[in-house]
Amino acid sequence: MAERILIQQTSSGEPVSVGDLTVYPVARSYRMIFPGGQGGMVWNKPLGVIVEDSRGSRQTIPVPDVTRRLQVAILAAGFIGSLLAWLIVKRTR
Amino acid sequence: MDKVVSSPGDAGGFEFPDTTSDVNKTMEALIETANVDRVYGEPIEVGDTKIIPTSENLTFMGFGFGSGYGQGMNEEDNEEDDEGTPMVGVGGGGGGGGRTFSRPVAVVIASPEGVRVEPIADRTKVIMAAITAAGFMASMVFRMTRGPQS
Repeated sequence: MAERILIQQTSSGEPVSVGDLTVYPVARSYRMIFPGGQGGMVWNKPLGVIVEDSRGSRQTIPVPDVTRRLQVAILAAGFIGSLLAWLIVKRTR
Repeated sequence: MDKVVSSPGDAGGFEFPDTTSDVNKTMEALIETANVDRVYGEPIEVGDTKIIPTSENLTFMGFGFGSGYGQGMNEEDNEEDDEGTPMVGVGGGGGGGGRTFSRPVAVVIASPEGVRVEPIADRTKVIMAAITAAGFMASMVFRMTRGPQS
């Protein structure tokens, strides 16, 4: 059976207790082994934290990646702006 | 490093180094970095509050190995005999490299009153993205306004 090249894994870390609350950190990792096994890549990113209170109710709080969102939004705006400018110039000629 | 003879007689009995175990150890070390502990740092206690730093990290590595041999007759050493002395030459080498990128994403602030997440915006990366987008747009506009080249 062929070995999978890309593996996605979601894992939870050691809980942190604060007062009546227990915080479980959750992260996602992507592992990629290059064909031939001569290298690879690992990408770890935070997903969020699960907060459990003394009554046992759980709440998930996501960890937003603001920098990544802004980067994607700005680059997409630049691409769309260029496309619109090209369309406007093309119509006026 | 372990030594292994690649097929006897192939390279005059030369023992090529066995790099498999080293490669496996390196790959295992890489795979072990896929861990939640790499993302969440040790909690910092400030009174009743605990602050947990979070980061995103990307690690990659690559390596390659090669070896070879050649054989022939050294005619310079043997002037009387036409066939000369049989000679074998072997060689090999390898290399590799890797890098880890890491950047803070947010801090988790946990207090007895509740838990909140404060995101961290990396201004440098955002400004670089804005410069890239502006440069791309300016280049497009410049090319369009200049018109077709003769």
